[in-house]
Amino acid sequence: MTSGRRRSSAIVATAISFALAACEIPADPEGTFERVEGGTLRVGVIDHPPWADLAGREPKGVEPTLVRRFAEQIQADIEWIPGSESELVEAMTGFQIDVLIGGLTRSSPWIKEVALTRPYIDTTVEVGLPLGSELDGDLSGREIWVERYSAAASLLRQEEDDAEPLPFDQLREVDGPALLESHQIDAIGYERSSYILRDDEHAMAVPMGENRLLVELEQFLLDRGDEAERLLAKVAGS
Amino acid sequence: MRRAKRLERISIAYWISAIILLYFTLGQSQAMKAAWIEDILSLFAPTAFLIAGRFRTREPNGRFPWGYHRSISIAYLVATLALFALGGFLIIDSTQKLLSGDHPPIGLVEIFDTQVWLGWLMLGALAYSSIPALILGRMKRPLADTLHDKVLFADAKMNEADWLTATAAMGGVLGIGLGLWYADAVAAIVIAIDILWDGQRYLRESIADLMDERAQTYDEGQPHPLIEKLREAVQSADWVNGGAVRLREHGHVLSGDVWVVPKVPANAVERAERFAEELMDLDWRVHDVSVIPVASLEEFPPDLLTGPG
Repeated sequence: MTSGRRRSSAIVATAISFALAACEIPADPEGTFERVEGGTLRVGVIDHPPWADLAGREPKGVEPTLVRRFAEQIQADIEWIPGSESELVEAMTGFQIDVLIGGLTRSSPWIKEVALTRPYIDTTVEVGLPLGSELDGDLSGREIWVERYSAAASLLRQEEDDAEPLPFDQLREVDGPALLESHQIDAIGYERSSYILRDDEHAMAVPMGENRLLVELEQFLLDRGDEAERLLAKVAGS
Repeated sequence: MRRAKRLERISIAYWISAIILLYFTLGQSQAMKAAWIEDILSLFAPTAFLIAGRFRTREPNGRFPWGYHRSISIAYLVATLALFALGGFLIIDSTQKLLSGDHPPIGLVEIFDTQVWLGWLMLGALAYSSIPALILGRMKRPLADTLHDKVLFADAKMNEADWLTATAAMGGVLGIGLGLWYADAVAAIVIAIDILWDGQRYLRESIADLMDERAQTYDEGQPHPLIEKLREAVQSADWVNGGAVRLREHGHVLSGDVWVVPKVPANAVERAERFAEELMDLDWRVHDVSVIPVASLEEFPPDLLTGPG
């Protein structure tokens, strides 16, 4: 071989090995993705309808459905582990579960314990109005429907203490301006007023530092934003 | 000098752009944080240089009879203190993270509708924040030589040394990419040690400077050659019988006192004044020199004397 050809083949070899290495980047310090691909995906589920609903035999809802499709994609079986948020977060920090779902948002206080994905869908807590009506100015003195004992009720009290809350137990009782989650507003056919009290960026969690799993899951979710919206509309409406 | 000023202005603009870029790619990486802090500190030297340039021309007044030159030394001291403190903080912070076994998460970002691993963006930002720095540093060195400028020289050296920071940080990010979670904290510690080392060296120089240490060359190696020049001028002056010289750095310029023993006491005042002018004409850096006729050199420290006997 002439020296020229030898040099160029050395360059090609280096480039290929870089490219191969790049395919493996990022990697998991604990090898999680390698283990679950073609294996078993241990999914921690927090009961939080409509995001995850543990009422039936199998978990239902937006996020379990998405996770099932993800597992299909990586040819993994799923083992569901129900529990409370704090229990499951603790399990995750000890690498006992691989994915955690159930209405987590990017503003979760657990952000230092687990790695949250990029948000795959945004919802808000805002005022919904019956079609045709308007909201001028703020909510002071107005009667606002709000679900009894809910986070919306709490927000209303903290941020708009001069509004008059009208508590409801069932969504169909609502008859007038209401402080609801955006998908609930859509479900009863009301209009979103853009008077937003809270923004929620929904995400899932994986163990801190397992960057390969994080990236694979994020890629899956980011490609399915529309599907997530449709699932939410379907589940919220039922 | 104008070229130096232009380079320093370009440097400031460049550093600000690098700092912004790094800020957006910080993520949760300790090494990135360290590199970002070091870049912020890199703003001090060019700023000090440009400000010094403006203050130099201000005339002394009642409130500041020695002029404003010392302001640069203060700026230098503040900058080195910041360097030292931040270096120390970074070492402690990164060591804590290393010991607590934190695995840094680095996921995806979406830019212009494509999904990219944040690590690649970090590497890009690090490359941007180091390669131009190296080039700028190389360009400043010869200027610092010609101008004998300490601040410019220190800045050039810091710029050139940026390659170490960038390489360490890149190593940290790639390490995480390969699954070595500790690579990031280790890289941050390496960078922090480098910052601390520079910090303590400049801090010591800064303190010596403010203690009116004998004037040094711009690379802090030797006593300033102007001291020798002044000594020779005193020895060769025909109207004096030897003298003593002391010079200190006063920001960008040198100031000091020259004591002379006139051979004849007549016209001592005029001669002294004229001599002072001559000395200050030797070099623009000899800025504020008082020529003081004295009767004898008995009480003077021998190191200050210009000649034997």
